[in-house]
Amino acid sequence: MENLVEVVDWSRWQFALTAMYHWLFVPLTLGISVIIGIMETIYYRTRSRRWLAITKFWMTLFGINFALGVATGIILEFEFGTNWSNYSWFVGDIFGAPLAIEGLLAFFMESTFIAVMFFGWNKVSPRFHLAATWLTAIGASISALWILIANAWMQHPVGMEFDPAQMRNVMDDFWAVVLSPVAIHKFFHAVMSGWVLSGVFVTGISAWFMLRRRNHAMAISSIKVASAVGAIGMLGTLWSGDGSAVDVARVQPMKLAAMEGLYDGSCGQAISAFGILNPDKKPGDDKPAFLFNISIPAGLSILATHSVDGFVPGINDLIEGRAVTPAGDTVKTESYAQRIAAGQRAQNALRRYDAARKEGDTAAMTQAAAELKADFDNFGYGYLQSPAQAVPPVAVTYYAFHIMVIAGGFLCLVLALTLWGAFRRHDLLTKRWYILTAIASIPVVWICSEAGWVTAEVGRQPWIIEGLMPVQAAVSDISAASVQTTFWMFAAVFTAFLAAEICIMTRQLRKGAETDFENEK
Amino acid sequence: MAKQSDISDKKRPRNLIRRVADLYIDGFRSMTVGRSLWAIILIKLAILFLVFRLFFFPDLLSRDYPTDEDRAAAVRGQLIDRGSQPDRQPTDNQHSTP
Repeated sequence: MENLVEVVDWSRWQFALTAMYHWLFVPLTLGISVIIGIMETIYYRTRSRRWLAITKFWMTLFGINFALGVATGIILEFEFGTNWSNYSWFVGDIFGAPLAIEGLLAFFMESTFIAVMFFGWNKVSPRFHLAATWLTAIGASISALWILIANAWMQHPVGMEFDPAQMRNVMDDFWAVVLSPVAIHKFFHAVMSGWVLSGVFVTGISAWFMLRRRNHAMAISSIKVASAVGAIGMLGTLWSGDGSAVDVARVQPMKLAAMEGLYDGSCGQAISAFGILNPDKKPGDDKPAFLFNISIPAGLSILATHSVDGFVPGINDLIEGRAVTPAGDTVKTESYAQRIAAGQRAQNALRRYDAARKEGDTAAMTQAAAELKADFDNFGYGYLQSPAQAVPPVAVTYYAFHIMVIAGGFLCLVLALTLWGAFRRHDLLTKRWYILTAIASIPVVWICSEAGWVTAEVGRQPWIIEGLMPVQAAVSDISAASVQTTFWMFAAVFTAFLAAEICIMTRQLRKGAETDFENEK
Repeated sequence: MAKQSDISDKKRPRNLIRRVADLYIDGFRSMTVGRSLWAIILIKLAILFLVFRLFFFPDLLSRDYPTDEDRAAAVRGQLIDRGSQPDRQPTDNQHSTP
C-alpha cells in the first residue's frame, strides 16, 4: 500500500470530525433529559402550570437536539467497516456485543419512551408520562454505557484472548470488559460531564431570557434545577476525573506524560498548571520541554498516584524503561525497544502460523500460536520502526488537556456562583455581569467537553487498541482519495445540519415559553 | 362471569394497540416544530443510508470476501505485510522522529 500514511491521516481526520460532531449532541441529551425529569417530577408533585410550561419548553429544546443528533453515531460504524476494516475484524465480538446491546436499548427504550414524552401529555396518565421521561433519561445513559465500555476496552484491552485462526479477539470474560475500572471511570466522567454541560446550557439560556427581560419566573426556576444538576455533575466529573487520572497513570503512562509535556519524570513530580511547550523538543534531546511554565509542586504525583512522593515517569523514562520504586531505588522496566522486539517476535510467530496453516501442519500451527500468545501483549509494537513512534502528538494532547482543566475550573466557579445565587442570593442572578458570564459559559462548556475527548483520543495515539494495534495496521486497503472525498462530503453535510439545529433552536428560544403562568406561585 | 372476562381479555389488547396507534397518529398530526425536525431526520437518514452507506461506505470485508475464513485470511495477510520483516533485527534504543 503506497499511500498508507495518507490513508491513515485522512481516516483519522474523518473519524475525529465525525466523533466530535456526534459529541456536540450527546452530552446535552444525557444531561438535559435528567433536568427535564426533575422539572416534570416537580410538576407531578405540585401540578403547577408554571412547572408544566417549563418542562415542555426544555423538552422541546431536548427534542431539537435529539433529532439533530440522532444517527450521527451510525456514521462511525460505517467508517469502521470501510476505513478501519482490519480493526473491525480484529476486535471481534468485544466491540460487537456492547454495540449490539446499545443498539437494542437505544432503539427500544429511547424510541418508545421519547414518543410517550412528546405525544403522550393528554394520552397517558401523568404518572406514566413521568416514568417515560425518566426512562428516556436512563435509556440515554445506558446507551452511553455500552459505547464507553467499548471505548475503554480500546484504551485498556482486557477479558479476551486472541485467536490466530479467526484473527479475532474472543471475549472470555464479559465482566472483566464491563467492570474494567477504565470503563467505569470513563462512563461516569462522560455522563457527569453531560450533566455539567446541560446545567450550564440551561443556566445560560435562562440568563439570556433574563437579559431580554422575558420569562423571568421560568428562568429563575430553571436555573435552580440546572445549577443543582450541574453542581452534582461537576462533583461527579471531578471524582471520575481523579479516577481516570490514576487509570491513565497505570495503563497508559505515555498518554499521561504527553498530557503534561513531561519528558523526565521524578518522585514528587510537579504538575504544569499552564505552559507554552517548546516546539523543537524531541524525546531524548537536552532541550527544555517548556518555553514558559507555571507548575504546582508534587501536583502530578498526587493526581496520578495519590501520594506526594509517587514516581511519575516521563516520555524518556518510558522509552528507556526506567522507574523509581517507593523506596527511592531506580529500577529497569521494559523499554520500548524491548517491546518492539517482543512485537516483532509475535509477528514472526503469526507469520509462521500462517505458513503452517497453508501447509496444513497442525503441530507447527500450535507451536506458533503458543509463541504468539507469549508476546501478544506487545503485538502492536512490532509495527513501530522506533520507540519514538509510540509517543503521541504531545502539543495537541497537552493543550487539549489544559484547555479542558482551565475551562472546567471556570465552569466550576460559574456553577458554584449560580448555585449560591439560585438558593441564597437571588439578586446575584439579576446582575448584568453574572448574566453575561452565564451566557458566555455556553460555548466554554462545549469547548471543555470536546477538549476532553481530544485529550483521550489523541493522547492514546498511535494506538487504536493500546499496545495491540496501531492505526497504520488498523486502516483498510483503500485509496486516500476516497477518504478525502467522503471527508469533505461529511464536512458539508454536518455544517448544514448544525446550521439547521442552531436556526431551529434559536427560533424556538425567541418564541420562549408560555408566559401566562408568570405570576403563578 | 367467565364470558365477560373473556370479552374484556380480548378487548384489552385491541384497545391497547388502538391507543398506541392513536398516540402516534395524533402526536404526528399535532406537531409544530416537530414537522421540521422530522423532515430533517428523514433527509439525514436518506443521505446516510441511501447515499453514504450505499455508494461510499461498503463493509469492505463482507463485500470482497464471501466467508469468515477468507476474511480472516485477508486480515492476517495485511497485518503480516504491514508488520516487521522476518529478518529485521529489533531496533536499538535510539530516539528518532516519528
